[in-house]
Amino acid sequence: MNTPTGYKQRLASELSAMATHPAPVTATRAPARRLRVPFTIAAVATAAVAAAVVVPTLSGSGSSPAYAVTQRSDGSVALDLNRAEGLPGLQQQLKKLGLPAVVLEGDENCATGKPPLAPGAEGRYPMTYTNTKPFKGIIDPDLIRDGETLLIVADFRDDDSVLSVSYRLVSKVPTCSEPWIGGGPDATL
Amino acid sequence: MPLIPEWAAGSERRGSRAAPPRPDAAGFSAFYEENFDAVLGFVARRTNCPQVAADLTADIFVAALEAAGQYDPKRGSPYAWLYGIARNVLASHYRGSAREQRAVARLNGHRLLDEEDIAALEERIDAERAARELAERHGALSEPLREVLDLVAVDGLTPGQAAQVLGLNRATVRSRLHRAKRLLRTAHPSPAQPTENAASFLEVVS
Repeated sequence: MNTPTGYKQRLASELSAMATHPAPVTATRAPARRLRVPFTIAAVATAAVAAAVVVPTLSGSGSSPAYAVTQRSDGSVALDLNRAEGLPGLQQQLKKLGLPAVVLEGDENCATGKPPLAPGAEGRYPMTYTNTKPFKGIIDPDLIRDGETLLIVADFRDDDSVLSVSYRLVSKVPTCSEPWIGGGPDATL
Repeated sequence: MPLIPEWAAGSERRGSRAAPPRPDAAGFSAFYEENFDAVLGFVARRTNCPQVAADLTADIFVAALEAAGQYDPKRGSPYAWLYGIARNVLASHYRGSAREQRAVARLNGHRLLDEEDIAALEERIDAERAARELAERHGALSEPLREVLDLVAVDGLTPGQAAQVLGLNRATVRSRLHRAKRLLRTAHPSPAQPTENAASFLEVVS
C-alpha cells in the first residue's frame, strides 16, 4: 500500500486541532448580493397528478426556460432550474403538485443559519441530482414523511445563473437559510 | 491489483465494530485511521493529480468532521455515510465554482504534502489507473446508471451497499446495474481482455 505517511499524520493533526477547537460560526460573511424576499410557500396538499405536467418559463435574457417541473409516470418529480427568475414559478408548481417542498434562495446573512434536519431524516435523500450545470434533479415524494418538508435552497451567481442547489428535510420551515445545506447522501455541501 | 473492495468489504467484516464518526478529537481520530486508506483510494480512482488527491482527501475528512455530530447509525453504516460525503465533496470539486470550493475546502490538503508523500500518491494514483479507465468507459451512461455502476464496479461496493449510499432500494440498484451492463455490452460487444473491475462488475450483475 502506497501511503503518504507524512501527509496522513499532518492531516490527522489538523483534524484533531479542528475537532478540539471548532471554527466559530461565520463571523465575517460577505454581504448578500441582493435582497430577495424568500419564497416560503409550503405545499402540504396530497393531490395526485395523473398526467405529466411540464411548466417551462421563458423570460429574461436567457433562451432556455428559467425552470421546468415535470411529473413523471413513476410518481417522482423532475426539476430544472436555470435562473433565479424561475424560483417563484418553481415553488408554485411544486405546490400545485402537492409536494411538501419549499424553495428558498440561499442567504449568507441568514441569522438562523442552516435549519436543523428533521428528526430521523438522516440517510433519507428525496432528491437525486441528475445534472448540475444547469441544475436538474428528481424528487421522490415517497421519501418525504408526514410532518416533513423538503427545503430546497438555491444559490445564484451575479448573472442570476444557478450556482448551487442544496436540500434537506426539515420539520419547521425557516424564513431564510444559508446556502449549502446538503445535497446527497449527506448534508455537507 | 485488487478491486479496492477494502472499504466496503472491510466494513462488512467489521460489521457493527466499524468506528462511528464522532466529533470529538479522540473519536474522530479512530474514524480517520480506519478510513484514511479507503478515502485515499476513492480519490485516487478519480484524479491523476497528487495535489488534487490531497486536497480532496482533506476536504472529505473535514466535511466528515463537521457532520460527525449528525451521524445516526440507524440510518446507515459509517462507510456508507462517509462515502456519501466523499461523493458530495467530489461533485462540489468538479462543479468547479471557486466559491463552492471555498465553502467546502477548510484545509488546503496539498500544503501538507512533502516530496515523499507526493511520490507515494503518484504510485497510488498509478495503481488506480485501471479503475479510472473503467470509470471513463461509464461516461456515456446516464447519471443514474453511472453513479450505481461506479460504486459497484469502480469502488467495489456490493449492490446493497451502493443502495445504502445512494438512498435507493436494492431492486432499483440491481435494475440499474442490469441496464448499465446491457448498454455497456452494446457499446463494447467483445472485450478481448476485460479488466478485473469489469469482470467483477459482470459477476455482480449476472
